[in-house]
Order: sequence, then structure tokens, then C-alpha cells
Amino acid sequence: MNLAKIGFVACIFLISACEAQNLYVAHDTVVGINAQLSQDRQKGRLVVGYDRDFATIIPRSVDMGNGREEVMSSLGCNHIVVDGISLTEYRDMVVTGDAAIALAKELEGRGELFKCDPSAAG
Amino acid sequence: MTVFGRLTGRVPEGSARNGAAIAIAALIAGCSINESGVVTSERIEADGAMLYRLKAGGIHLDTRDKQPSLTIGVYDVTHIFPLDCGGSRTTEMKPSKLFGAFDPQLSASRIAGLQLKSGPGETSVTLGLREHMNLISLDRTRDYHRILAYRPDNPAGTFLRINNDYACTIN
Repeated sequence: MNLAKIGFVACIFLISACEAQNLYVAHDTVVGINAQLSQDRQKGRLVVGYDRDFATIIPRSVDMGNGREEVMSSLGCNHIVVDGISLTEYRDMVVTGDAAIALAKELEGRGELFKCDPSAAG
Repeated sequence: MTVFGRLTGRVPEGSARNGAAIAIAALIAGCSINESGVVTSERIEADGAMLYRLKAGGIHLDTRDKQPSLTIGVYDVTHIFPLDCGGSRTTEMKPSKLFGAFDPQLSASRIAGLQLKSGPGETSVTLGLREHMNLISLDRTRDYHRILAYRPDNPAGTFLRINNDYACTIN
């Protein structure tokens, strides 16, 4: 039986200290003790017991090459199913850059919304 | 002191030394580095994907991951690559070439025991159980389109579609 079923559509975590250069998705579950340090060793985290994280980091801006910067174009859907502490299913559909703009225009022309159903898109 | 003497006195002569030797042998036998040592690795072909799975017990050193790790306990990791990359079939590549040329689209690991991990983005120590999954890191300036479906209990049912070779030559 699934204890949790989580669907995320374009979760955005703004990184306050520095701007992300890459689109990044990660899931992490700990039961026990976990101590982490960030890459610059300025931030740390200690988990004793149970903790589950799911994060999507989307860069805030993209250099367009002529001195202009625009918000990163991205359409995405992540679907996670967990049973107890274990990941039992992961599905996603990710589109970035010009491909995302083209898809958005195509959906707009058809009067549709982005469907968060990767299995249907296969 | 007396109790200790009595206990040791009941052990046949040489058993302590033999026990230590067995423990050391077991420790050595349970050592592995990537695909070498006491480790099982398999490749599973799926719909548009190749899953590279590695299981190890004892002491395992993984240098393939972006964050190299040392695990004492149980280590189970699955990396998902596109089945075909730039005309090359990933099922036929040696692991060193595979990981040297391509980044996995998805990496999912599970450890039970003690793990030390250090590399770009993370330095960590874990005691207990940890499940970690991360997707390929995408350059914000590139066009990309991926559809992925993965079930750990049915790896052969994995589905992967990506739009171009950039997606697998991102290294």
C-alpha cells in the first residue's frame, strides 16, 4: 500500500545564496543518522531519525547571448510513488529551452494545457 | 578479569587466531571497487533504456558516481542510460567507457550500513538506511526533451525517450 503519493508540477526552489546553473532534480530518504556538508562547507545538515526530501532546482535566468537575460523556459512534470520508505515508481516529462517554447505555443494553438501524464505521452 | 580468563580458557587453542583470520578473510572477500571484487553487476535492456545495476556487500568503493563513496554494509545502485547514444549501443560498452562518456539519466542508490560520500555538491556520512535518486543535471542554455518512467521492482519495464544525442553526451 502506498503511504504517500506525491505529484509535483514545476516545483521551483529559489536559491538565495547563488544562482543555479543547471536544472536539477533529486530525491533523498534517510532512516538513521545522516550528516551533510555543502560543497563550500558553509552549510550543514544533521538528520537523526527519518527524513525525506524531493527537490527541483530551476535556474532563474538564461543568458541570451546579446547581453539580455530571460527566465529559463521549462515545462516539467515529476511523479513519485513511495511505499513506506522505498521509492516504488518514478516518472517524469521534462522539456527545456526552445523545445519548451515550441510545445507551449503548440498547446496554446490547440487550446490545451500541459498534461502531467508522462505515461500518456509515451 | 576472572570471567574473561574463564571464557578464553574454554576456547580451543588457536581459535582466537583462526577467528581473526576468518574475520579478516571475510572482510577481504567482501571488498569491492566498482565492478571488481565481491559484487554483482548486470545490464538490463528496456524500452529506450539500458539499466546498469550493481549490488555489493561488505566494503564497497564506488568511484563512478559524481560523489565517490565508501560503503560498509549493503550497496545497491541502478544507473539508467539511453539504449543508443550517438550511434553507440550502451549495452556493449565497458563500464569505464560508459561512465567516461555519458552521464546517467537517472541514478538511484540504496545503502544500509555506513557510508562516507564526498564530491561535488555533497560531503556526507550516513549510518542506517539511505535512498538517493538524482536525475541528470541539465544545462540551462540547451534544448532538451525527456520522458522517463522507472519502477525499481520492474527494471525491464523502464521507458526512456530523449530528443537528441546532447542528452547522452553531456559529459
